[in-house]
Amino acid sequence: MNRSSRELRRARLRFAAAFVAVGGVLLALYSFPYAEHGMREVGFAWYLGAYARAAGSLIHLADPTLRVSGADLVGRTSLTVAKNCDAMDVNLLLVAAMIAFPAPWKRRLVGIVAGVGLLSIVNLLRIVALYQINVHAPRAFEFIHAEVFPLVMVVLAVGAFGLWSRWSRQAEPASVEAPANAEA
Amino acid sequence: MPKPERRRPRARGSTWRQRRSEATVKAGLGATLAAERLPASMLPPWRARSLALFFGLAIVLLAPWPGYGRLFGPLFCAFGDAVIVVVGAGSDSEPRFSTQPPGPVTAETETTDWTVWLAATRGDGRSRPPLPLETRILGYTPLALSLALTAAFAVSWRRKLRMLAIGLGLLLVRLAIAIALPVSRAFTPHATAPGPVSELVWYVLIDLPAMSYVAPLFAWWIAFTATRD
Repeated sequence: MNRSSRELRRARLRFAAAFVAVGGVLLALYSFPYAEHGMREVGFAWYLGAYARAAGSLIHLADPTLRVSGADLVGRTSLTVAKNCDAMDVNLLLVAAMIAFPAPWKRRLVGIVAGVGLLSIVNLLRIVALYQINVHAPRAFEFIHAEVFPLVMVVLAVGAFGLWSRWSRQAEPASVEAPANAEA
Repeated sequence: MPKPERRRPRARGSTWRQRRSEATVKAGLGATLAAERLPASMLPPWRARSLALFFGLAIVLLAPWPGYGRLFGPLFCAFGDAVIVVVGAGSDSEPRFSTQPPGPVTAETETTDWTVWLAATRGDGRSRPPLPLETRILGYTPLALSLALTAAFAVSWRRKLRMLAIGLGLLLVRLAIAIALPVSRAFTPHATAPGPVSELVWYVLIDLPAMSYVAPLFAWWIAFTATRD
């Protein structure tokens, strides 16, 4: 094995180790068991309620009977936005991958904001789609909820990371255009 | 990426200002290429054909075909029993997995082709009803995705086999943890609340919905990094 391939292998292992470390810490913070009726539970309930209200406002366009009570969506069928329904696990793993990947911090921040924003929008659409599936094809709900959508979210996150990783290491446009500006 | 400027040889570097400009362009291009080289080689070179093959395999392997679960069940039970014996989970109750419920089950228990049963074979635990466990997302899905990822990736067959061995090995370690933790908890003579560490390991590594899909990807990455053509 030559020197460059050794360095490449080390870089890949460093990325894997950093991903595990950062992802582990972020997921542990998200999953850490908290006391019942504590401040954290109240805050989390409010957060899930906000998520439910955002999804409810979209569902309401197709189902005017829908009302939101806490984290529950009740209309032609009922759906509860529970922990993990916010796709936070996928979001945190995407953030961990972007932090672990060797790239400038400015581009990491852009990637994190864009990636988490994209995944959050798709996740809201996922909840809307699940509500409609529960209305029109309830027998398919469990398979789509537990298997199809998690895979879709992970594939989307991996695709977003792949695109971002290429962009993140490209030179800043200003440094490439500098000679042309100098000429002008 | 900017295209290099095409100039006639006669005009190249004829003045100090032009030479300086050319040097700046070359430096800029060099930096651009060097920056692009790292991620392009750091990330595995997935071609469109390989991606299409991966998605095709994933659909075939993960589609809800009837009968898959009945084939996978005995394999899961054998592996689960081996884990229980090796780590000594469940102590004197000697819990074992089976594809059929060994005793009466409650009427409201929903079962599928993927359900296996865990029950004590000795001691006081035998009076307890068997516990159902769904093996598809926990056990089958990560292994199937690992197989699809490795089979679709364009490398030699020898490397594919090595990658598959490493990837499946890592996923089986995760599955062993997924079996050992709840079995230890369920069949402890004096049930106690799980410690925060084991609870965190359970939540982060096993319970999160994305983990059954991210774990094979990570195992594949490790296998890709650890092997060469």
